[in-house]
Amino acid sequence: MIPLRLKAQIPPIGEPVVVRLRERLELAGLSDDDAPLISEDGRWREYDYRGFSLRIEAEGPDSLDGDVILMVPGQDRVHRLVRASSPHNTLVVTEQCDQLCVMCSQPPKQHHVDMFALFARALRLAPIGATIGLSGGEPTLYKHALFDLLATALSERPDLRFHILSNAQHFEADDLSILASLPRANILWGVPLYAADAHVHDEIVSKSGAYAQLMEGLSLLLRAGAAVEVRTVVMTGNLAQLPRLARILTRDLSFCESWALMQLEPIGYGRKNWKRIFADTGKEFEPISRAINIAAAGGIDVALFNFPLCTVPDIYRRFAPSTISDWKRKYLDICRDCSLRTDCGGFFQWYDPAKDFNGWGCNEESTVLDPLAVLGRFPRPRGGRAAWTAFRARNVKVAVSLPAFSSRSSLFAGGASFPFQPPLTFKPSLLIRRRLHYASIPATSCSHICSTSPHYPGSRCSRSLAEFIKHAAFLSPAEPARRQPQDSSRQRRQIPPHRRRSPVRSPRLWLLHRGVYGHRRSRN
Amino acid sequence: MTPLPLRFDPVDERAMLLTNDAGGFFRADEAFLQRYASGRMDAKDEAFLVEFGHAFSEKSDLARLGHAYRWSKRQFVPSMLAYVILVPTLRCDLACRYCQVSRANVGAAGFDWSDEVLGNVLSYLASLDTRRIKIEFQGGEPTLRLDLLHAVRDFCREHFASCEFVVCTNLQNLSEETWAFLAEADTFVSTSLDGNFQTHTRQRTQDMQATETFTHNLDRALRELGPARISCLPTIDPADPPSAQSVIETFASRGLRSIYLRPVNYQGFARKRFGRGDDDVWNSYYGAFIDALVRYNATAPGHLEEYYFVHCLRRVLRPGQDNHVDVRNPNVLGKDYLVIDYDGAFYPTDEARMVTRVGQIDLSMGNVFKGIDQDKLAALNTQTANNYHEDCLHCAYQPFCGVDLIDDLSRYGRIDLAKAETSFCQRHMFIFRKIFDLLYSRDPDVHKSLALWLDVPAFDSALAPVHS
Repeated sequence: MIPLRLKAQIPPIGEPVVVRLRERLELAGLSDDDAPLISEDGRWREYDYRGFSLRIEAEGPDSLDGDVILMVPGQDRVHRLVRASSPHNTLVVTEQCDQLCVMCSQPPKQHHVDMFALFARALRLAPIGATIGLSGGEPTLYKHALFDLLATALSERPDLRFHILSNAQHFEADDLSILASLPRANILWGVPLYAADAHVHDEIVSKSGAYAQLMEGLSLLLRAGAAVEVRTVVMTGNLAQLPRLARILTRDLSFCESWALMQLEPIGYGRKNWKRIFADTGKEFEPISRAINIAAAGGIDVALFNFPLCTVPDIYRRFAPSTISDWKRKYLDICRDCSLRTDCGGFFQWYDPAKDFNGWGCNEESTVLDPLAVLGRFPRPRGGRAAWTAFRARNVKVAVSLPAFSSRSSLFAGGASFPFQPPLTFKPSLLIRRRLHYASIPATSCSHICSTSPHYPGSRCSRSLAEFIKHAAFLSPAEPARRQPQDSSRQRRQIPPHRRRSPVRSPRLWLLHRGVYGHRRSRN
Repeated sequence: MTPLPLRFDPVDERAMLLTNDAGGFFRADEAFLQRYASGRMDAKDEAFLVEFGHAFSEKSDLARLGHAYRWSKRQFVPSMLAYVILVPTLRCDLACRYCQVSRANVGAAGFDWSDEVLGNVLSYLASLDTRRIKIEFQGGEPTLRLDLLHAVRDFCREHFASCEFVVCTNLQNLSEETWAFLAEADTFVSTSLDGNFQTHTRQRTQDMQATETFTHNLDRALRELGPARISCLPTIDPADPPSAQSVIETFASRGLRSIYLRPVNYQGFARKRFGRGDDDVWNSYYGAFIDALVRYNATAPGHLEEYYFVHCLRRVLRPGQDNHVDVRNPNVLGKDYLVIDYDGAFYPTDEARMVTRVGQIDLSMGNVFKGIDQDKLAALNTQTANNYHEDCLHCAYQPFCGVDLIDDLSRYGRIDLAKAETSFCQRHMFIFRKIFDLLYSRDPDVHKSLALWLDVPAFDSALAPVHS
């Protein structure tokens, strides 16, 4: 984690001071607000602030050149307001908020500290062309000060860009002229909208009437010609609604530049309510894939934020840029050798691998297989186990199940001989708890796959590819699935859409159910 | 609730396609149309219209503003002039049967830019406000005057922040100097490949040996420049077209993914030899070709598209797709691109210079010596919108369609013909009906092609709403 505050010994100051650190000696034209580096002593760096000594303990070798920091009288830490080397800089305008979202990562506070004057100074010193996030709380609770800050900053520094996170609850008709006067190209409003259903949205933000108010706010932003990004955190409460929201976005909200579908951040209320609201999109991706397909076909620029790539089927990965801010990002042990790591945003610092995604954890140049795409489209080979094994060998990609149950774990640890007979009576509800790993075999050994998971210590093995495929074979059916005789009367019966569900709802489960275990059990 | 105006087009005995001014659409039956037209809609009808963006409650609500926004986004607004088609020579070393520009013999004199014209072209380019320019070299065969191409390219690279050059060449006789010119990263190649090599020989080279030279050059260009920098356009004689399968094979085997099928245009030499053509014949060939592409994409590892069909498909689903000059509304002429002919005359479109060449009507808009004739341009530009045209006003496909005045002038010598009788209208009605057939198809192969053409992982049927 990158620290946003650094230990420091600051000069005697009477009021908060914003200053820019400079570390490159060749820099000419230093202003009074610049503090050039004068000496280094181990971790401590000493800067010259108007003739006084400012000492900062740097935690690593990284340059602090161009960083804009805030010193507060009497504090032994400085706040890094703008980190010159990072694209992720956010100024918190206020910690107050009028909504109480169930997944809020920074729960609101009662009091407000007015920092606008300090922010104005910091913006003047920000690096050329920087994008600055303005967030909260709800920044537009102090909208007049906010508009002033934007207007002043952009008149002095037209190179700056702002990304403002706002719930759009506080715009009024009177604000139209000032909103319209702000340069469109420099400001992107990030506005959360959780569902196209007022009830669902209001419940998520814990404010009745919020949806109606939000529509008013968006109307005003549209009339002002503002650039808007819609942000939707994906949760159990709105997951099923995403395709409909996508449809509304291509229509009433088609003026929005982009749509960010965001995975939950396990901090604040997000952590507190995790069990209730976390939607394991590694397991149930379909509402998201539908939302992407609808929005992208309609010309909306849609992106998945905070989705580790190994939880996203590969044909949808191009929609998942690396988005987790550098200072709160981490990678797991399994990510070490992952070839997708440079493209992947990884996990939130607060992520707990024990309780979250079921579907994560593939590495390799490869591909988490999209089971629907692969097994659903492939004709199943005839000829029993031998044919199935050969089929898999040919298609190298293999779906592997690493068992979550202790008995299986010991099997995988090398204690048992293969093949063994898997019970064919698994119920889906039990299967859900199994961690499935989809992986392709890149090399000639399967050590790679068995060692992918930190949850199964000791599961490292080094069987040969041929042996590995034998493992896979134990997971395969003895006979190809037999088709159920079609019952035409049942086929014709109309099931209302909301009652329609497939017997197995997760694609991965479906794979297990259909592909690996093979026997589709009749439900009647 | 106030319903928005809807237009309709019967699909078959049961279904109607209904669209609104902003391009929203759905299918319903005739009974719904009756209820809608007579103001007797039930609660279910109203709920559907609200849910799918065909109604609003208040003037300032998002449903109405969003509708207005989508409508305005479908209107083409020209940006500054940043695309210039240059004809440095009208001479050509091929004599295609359908030559639409009435090319001049390779040895003829007086069909190239003089030094004076070149100087004025460059000073015209220098006068443009844009920082990015796209130059397309047309002909004749522009590579016959490589010196002029060099002069323009060097000037533009010097003068603009970013440049792109397209050389429209027959890839027939290329010197090593020409290959070196084409090899540069900002330079692209556009050529003709008439479907398959038999047809190419018949229509263009008239000589198997020459076709072989062309094939050799095409393969070299693909090898050295890569398929991404080459586009091949087949010109099709609707009366004697190559089979869809052979065209697909010819393109796919070379790694070319985009086919832009064009019927022989009613221009130049083609006017006498090919006549106006029969739109029905063309449409049925075109429709069968799209079906063949769908079948091909269902199993082939690399997918193919028909460029114009995909462009129109995107126009249906996405507002603001105005990057193709043949179908825009209003199709304002002379604002964002221009043609400069071999004699320095300005034309609003490439077809306009072809029309002028055959002496039917003078569509030149001034020249590089005197400047653009704004009055003439303005006169044409009063007629470039279809929104309130009496023939288009009630058309279900109006929001997606455009206007092509030059085509009308070329074919009929006038622009006030009933739209439905024009070739432009008949061809576009066919294309849009075909697009909606595919959107409402339940065939998984069709869905696969639609997804590939829309560049999405899968096609979702929610994109084609039905009110039942």
